[in-house]
Amino acid sequence: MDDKEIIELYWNRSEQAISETADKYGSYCYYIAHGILQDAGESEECVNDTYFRAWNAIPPHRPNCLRTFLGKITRNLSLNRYEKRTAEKRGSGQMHLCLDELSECISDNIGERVAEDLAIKELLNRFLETLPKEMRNVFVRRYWYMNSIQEIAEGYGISEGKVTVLLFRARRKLKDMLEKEGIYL
Amino acid sequence: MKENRLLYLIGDIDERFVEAAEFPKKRSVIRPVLKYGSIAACFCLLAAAGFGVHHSINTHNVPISPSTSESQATENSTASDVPKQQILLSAFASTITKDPDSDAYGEDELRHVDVILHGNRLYDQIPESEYAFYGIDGTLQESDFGDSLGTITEIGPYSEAVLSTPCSQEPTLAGCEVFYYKPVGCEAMIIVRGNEHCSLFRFMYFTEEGFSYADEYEVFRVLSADDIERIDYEIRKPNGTLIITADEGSVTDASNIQAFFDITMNLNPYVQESALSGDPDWLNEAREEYWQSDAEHHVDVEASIVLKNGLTMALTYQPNLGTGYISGHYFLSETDNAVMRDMFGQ
Repeated sequence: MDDKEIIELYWNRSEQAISETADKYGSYCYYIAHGILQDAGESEECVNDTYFRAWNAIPPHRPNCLRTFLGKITRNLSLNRYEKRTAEKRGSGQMHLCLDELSECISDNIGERVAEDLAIKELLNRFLETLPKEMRNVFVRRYWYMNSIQEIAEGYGISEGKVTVLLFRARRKLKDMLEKEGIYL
Repeated sequence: MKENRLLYLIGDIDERFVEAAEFPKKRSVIRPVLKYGSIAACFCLLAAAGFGVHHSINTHNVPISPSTSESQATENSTASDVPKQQILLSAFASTITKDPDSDAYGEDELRHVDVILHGNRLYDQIPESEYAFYGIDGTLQESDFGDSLGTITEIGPYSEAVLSTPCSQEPTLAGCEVFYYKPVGCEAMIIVRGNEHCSLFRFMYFTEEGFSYADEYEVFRVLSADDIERIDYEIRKPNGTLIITADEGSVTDASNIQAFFDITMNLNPYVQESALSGDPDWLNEAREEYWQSDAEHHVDVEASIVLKNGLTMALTYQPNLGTGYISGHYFLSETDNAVMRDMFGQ
């Protein structure tokens, strides 16, 4: 079933929308959740919560890309869940590694808190536009999907060294851009 | 926590970026980009897209595809003979895993499934997902095996690599035999066979400094300008906060290709005093000046050198940095830079 038909099921409040979503995108959502949580049970719960959120969001929402729409929900749910259990489970999953790496992009000068989230999102999109395609894709795999360095290297058929160098350079560019725009998170 | 905020905000990036980052499917044909140059140059290259290699194989060099192997079999032998000659490719897995909490940014600390030949040529394993690009269906023929290069010795850091024997940091490669991959007709691809695996590797870069374009051309058997089919290029410029492709084209004129070959063959690589010293002062000073100049001067020419043997190499040329800069090398002479500018319409 194509995405438009699934979305129509949501709009028609047909519960078949959930089963069709699970069939088509369940494994994709699980992949995202597991990348963050590294726990099968919690990942399953996040995926189920994703369907519930999607059910509540559609309508009124009509996503352009159902796959990414669901992926974003799963990602946020998984991040929230991760935060809640960080204290006892620190060390598992990719999230803390991503956080550590991203911390260098942000200035220590936190005196000003001037940026609105909207402005930062716009800046992130502009930042991604400036990156060469390969660097952009590697950045997205790491910080959106939160794939490990090894997964990214294998996925794109490049060396782990190249992945880390691309990420290093991308983070440095992001840091420069954030500071240039006077954004201190 | 500020990192948390950034991580959440990244979740809201434009969905087209998320979609575009999908991993290529295994059967899709992708164009691998192999970076090479000295280690020092390699880092520069990553910043500036540098001098790399796209690798493709001419149809007549393609070792096997379902249709060609069948037709070759008909010409040379019976079809039933072909499978007996085939060797199934099977990639080596990395058995050394990094400590995920260690500093992952230091290239030297990483362990790859790679091989070093002649003490300084680094070859990376070609992933199965890229076999299609190379015209390979997952098998080799005995006739694909070129000259033997010896058996692999396990080493620690790259600096332990020796001239006399192939080396690798990956223990499972120790004792495997290494051969040139004959169909490409040069030294840019090798076969590693042993320990129940057989896999293809490709030249990436020199692990030592001081290697020139002439050395790189030698690996790909580019002996003269006649070996170059054409030079495709893109002109990359800033447009506001974006870097855009302002122009693109191909250099096909024989005299221009000759000039390009002559210039790149005569480039002089610089050598850093130590791995930690960074780029030399003259280059850093030129970069300072470059970045303070008007944005319209910030032009990169990304060139793909398409070779007649089917291989493709690439480099980035910055005409306005110093008197013209190609990563890892001293500036061009003003005369050569003028020729290059003219060639790429700059």
